[in-house]
Amino acid sequence: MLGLIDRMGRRIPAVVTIVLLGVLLPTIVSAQEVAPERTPEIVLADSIRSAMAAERPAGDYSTDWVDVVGFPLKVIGFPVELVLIRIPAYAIGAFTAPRPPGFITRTLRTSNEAGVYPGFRTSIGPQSGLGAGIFVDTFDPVYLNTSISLHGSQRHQVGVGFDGERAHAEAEFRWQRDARVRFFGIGSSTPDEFVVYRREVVDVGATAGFQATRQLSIDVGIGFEDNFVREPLSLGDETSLFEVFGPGELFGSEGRQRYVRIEAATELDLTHQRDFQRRGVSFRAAGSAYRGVRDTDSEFHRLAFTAQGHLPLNDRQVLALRGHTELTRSETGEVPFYHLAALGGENSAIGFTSNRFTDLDMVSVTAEWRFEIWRDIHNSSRIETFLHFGEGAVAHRLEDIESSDWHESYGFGFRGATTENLLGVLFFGFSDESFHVNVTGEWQP
Amino acid sequence: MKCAILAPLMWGVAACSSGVPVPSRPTPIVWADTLPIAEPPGRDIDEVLNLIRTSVSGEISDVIGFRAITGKHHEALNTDHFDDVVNSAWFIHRNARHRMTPEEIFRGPTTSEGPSEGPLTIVAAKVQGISPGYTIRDASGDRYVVKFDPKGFLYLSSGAGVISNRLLHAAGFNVPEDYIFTFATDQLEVDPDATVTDANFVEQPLTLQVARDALSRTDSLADGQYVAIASKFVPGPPKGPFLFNGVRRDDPNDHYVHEGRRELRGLNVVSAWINHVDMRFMNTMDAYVSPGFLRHYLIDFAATLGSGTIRSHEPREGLEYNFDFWDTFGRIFSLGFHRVGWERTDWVPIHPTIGWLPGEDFDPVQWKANWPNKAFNSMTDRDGYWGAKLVGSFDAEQIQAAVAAGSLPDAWAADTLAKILLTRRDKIVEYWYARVSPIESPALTTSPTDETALLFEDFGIRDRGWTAEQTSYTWQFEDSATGARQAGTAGPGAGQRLMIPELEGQPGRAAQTDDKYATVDILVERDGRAANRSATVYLRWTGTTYEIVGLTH
Repeated sequence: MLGLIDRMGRRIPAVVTIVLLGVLLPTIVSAQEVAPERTPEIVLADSIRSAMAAERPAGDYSTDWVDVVGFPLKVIGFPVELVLIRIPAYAIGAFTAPRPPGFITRTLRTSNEAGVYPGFRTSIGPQSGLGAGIFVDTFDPVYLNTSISLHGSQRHQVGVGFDGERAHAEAEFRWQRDARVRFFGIGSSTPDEFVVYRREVVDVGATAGFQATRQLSIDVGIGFEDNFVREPLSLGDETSLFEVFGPGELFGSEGRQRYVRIEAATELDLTHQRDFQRRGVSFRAAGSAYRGVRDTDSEFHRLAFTAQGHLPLNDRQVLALRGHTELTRSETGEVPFYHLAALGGENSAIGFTSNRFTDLDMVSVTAEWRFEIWRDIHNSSRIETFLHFGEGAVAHRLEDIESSDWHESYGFGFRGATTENLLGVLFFGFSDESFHVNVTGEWQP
Repeated sequence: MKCAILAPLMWGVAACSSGVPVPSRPTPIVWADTLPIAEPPGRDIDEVLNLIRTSVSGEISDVIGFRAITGKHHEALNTDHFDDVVNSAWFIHRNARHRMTPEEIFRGPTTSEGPSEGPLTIVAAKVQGISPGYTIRDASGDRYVVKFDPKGFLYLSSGAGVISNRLLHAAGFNVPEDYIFTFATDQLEVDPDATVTDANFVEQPLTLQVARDALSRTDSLADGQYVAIASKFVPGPPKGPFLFNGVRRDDPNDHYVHEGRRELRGLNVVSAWINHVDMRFMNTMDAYVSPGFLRHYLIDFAATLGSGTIRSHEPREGLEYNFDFWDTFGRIFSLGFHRVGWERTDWVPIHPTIGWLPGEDFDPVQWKANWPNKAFNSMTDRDGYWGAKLVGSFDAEQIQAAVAAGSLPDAWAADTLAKILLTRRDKIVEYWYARVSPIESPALTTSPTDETALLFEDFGIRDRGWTAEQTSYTWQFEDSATGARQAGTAGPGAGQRLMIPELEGQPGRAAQTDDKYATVDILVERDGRAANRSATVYLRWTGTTYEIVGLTH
């Protein structure tokens, strides 16, 4: 039994002992010289606690039959949980815990205050890549945007932009290099073997836009572009376009093509956005006319029509439908291959890689069923899942499309987004010729 | 080798299944965890890491764990022989043991009227983040944490904070002194040493202008004054939060693993009552109090009742975790068709001072806090009933007194909130009191005709309003020492009294001194529907009569 022993040799019950100690200890202690670290009342308390150990229930559970039977489950589950849950949890916790910002965060904040906004985009999949860029508007309305990818692609833009309440205007100079672009050939039944090329573009243009009503906008523009298709920077074990297409076999692959471009677009947007969910329909029509200059003997124009509908099934599910067609017509019969209409990629046929099929005309219809699976408590970010189905075709003329030209594509994936930014997409794309996984992360301030 | 591995496991099984009768088991010692300890250092727990671990890892572990699959959760560790807890640094019996007056409920833990008249010196300010506030020192030198209501919702979080403070205090938990108080901006002064942390976590000198700017995030009263909740610093230095699992290793008094503490398991039910969805470790605090032990506090009740601190509560809160692993995966694999009830709930705040708080639609079974924790997840029916007893101890008058402490300016709102709390109370009591046989305070009495009867209090009749006519009891007496057995029923209207002839005992029988006890199992039925489990009253033969030595539910 726990307890002090009184003068008669009787044990004092534990409860009384504790109460007595609580009352008497301060007096006892005050009359003693207190040791610097282990005060007498703590030493005494330790001994009382030791004595109490046998007097009160155990502080933790002893093993029972459930533990014994469940032991194998724990053995199996522990490494799985360690890899799938605990380590990622530690990583997320380490990255997101509120703490004084490190050098990178402080640098980012300082640069943002100075009008310099770094961003990045990474993609893991058939065409993996990692790109980083900087947008600068320190001297607004002048801006500078420059980005570079690990493969050597680059894009540098400098311009001046004016944004009014209902109108805007920009003028921009752009130099862009696509370091390694895939080309599968022209037509709807090309094999899934591709060649690669590099394209460099100098583009000088000006656009102006006018918001006629809240729903209707009109944009017009004029520009000059200088295109140059060359050997890719690094070939690896891939095949160069120039190994397959000889001189004169593929318009646009030889020399430089320079065009003056006139473009116009109009959009009727009847959608409404509430939190993350869009509802309603929108239509967009765009046209651009290209006239070759200097020694480029080519003239063509392109038309693109897009209709989109977002049909909410409820407040967290939406059916997104999209129809898109591109038509390319040439007066001279020559259209550079890189300006042809293309099918494939995240927006038109996710079971195929980007630019999988090219020809003068293209049509695609997609349906995406999106449903939210998680939203944070402050309604500032969420994760949605989507099921995607798409049909698309390319042809020399839209009316020539036959049933065998249609390519089915389907898949599913996840999108993470804040109210301001798309953070990342993970999707699994399927088609009759391939299956691929694509992970894209993006941060654009 | 196999034997070497299995032996300790089997020993454990044997040790646990030995079935020591409840009255022979060790019992917790009153105030045992208030012995002096060396002052522990403060601790700062990584909030995000902990929340992710508990919300994802914890949930998965619970599901793939055999204990969760079988539903064989351990019973609480720190219960006494009458299925209760003893007073400790965690919990003090208050209203459920001795009815508090409405005035006592209204006053709660407070010892004054709040920050005193005169200058309020700001010693620190939080101007970033979603909820701005100050740390102030009043003219008498007392320090308070001051927080404001969101714009358009005056009294929402401050009122909820104070009301829940009073209810949790009366229930028995340690809480700080929280006050609704009003002040004028000309009372504000800034301590010369006061600093404010900027967005880069760099401390900058605090200016009066910066402090006043924080007030732009709230509304003022008609007379230009501001209203806020002021939470007085608890006595003794803060030592960081406590967790809902494990023990605090630098506290030698911390004997029972927290997930095994009845108070923390039962807190789940009390939290459900006041809709304390933000009940997580970050809203707890250990303080090193005189004469030198850690007292365990619940703090910050701004996100309770209908308040979500910076806005009204929404239907998801209280029904789904912030990251609910299984509901989320349910949506994925059901292609979005897995839609729980709250996703179809149309709602608007009941009143700007109340926010949104379901009454008739409240489901005590489905309720959950925003973040899971191990103590709540380990709750058994007995723990739930214990928590429900705390809730059921409040009557309408007491609830109204607690609501009055929130100073809601609109009488209709105050009345409505009290009614909702009463409704939620009834639903909790109705559910949890049916999970067990709510028999309390057993006693033996001898009637004038020399018949021994077992008297008890049926809390279902006391708190729920079931009548004696609706209630019947099936009982079974068994004395393992003599082998005597007897069973019977007491039909509707029998009252809270069982006539059990065997309780009269056998004259001349020696006192029982070993671990052999007599038991009376009592199963309560309401309108013919039996409770989930029976209560067991333990008796020991003293040589002349039986005495009651234990009770489990």
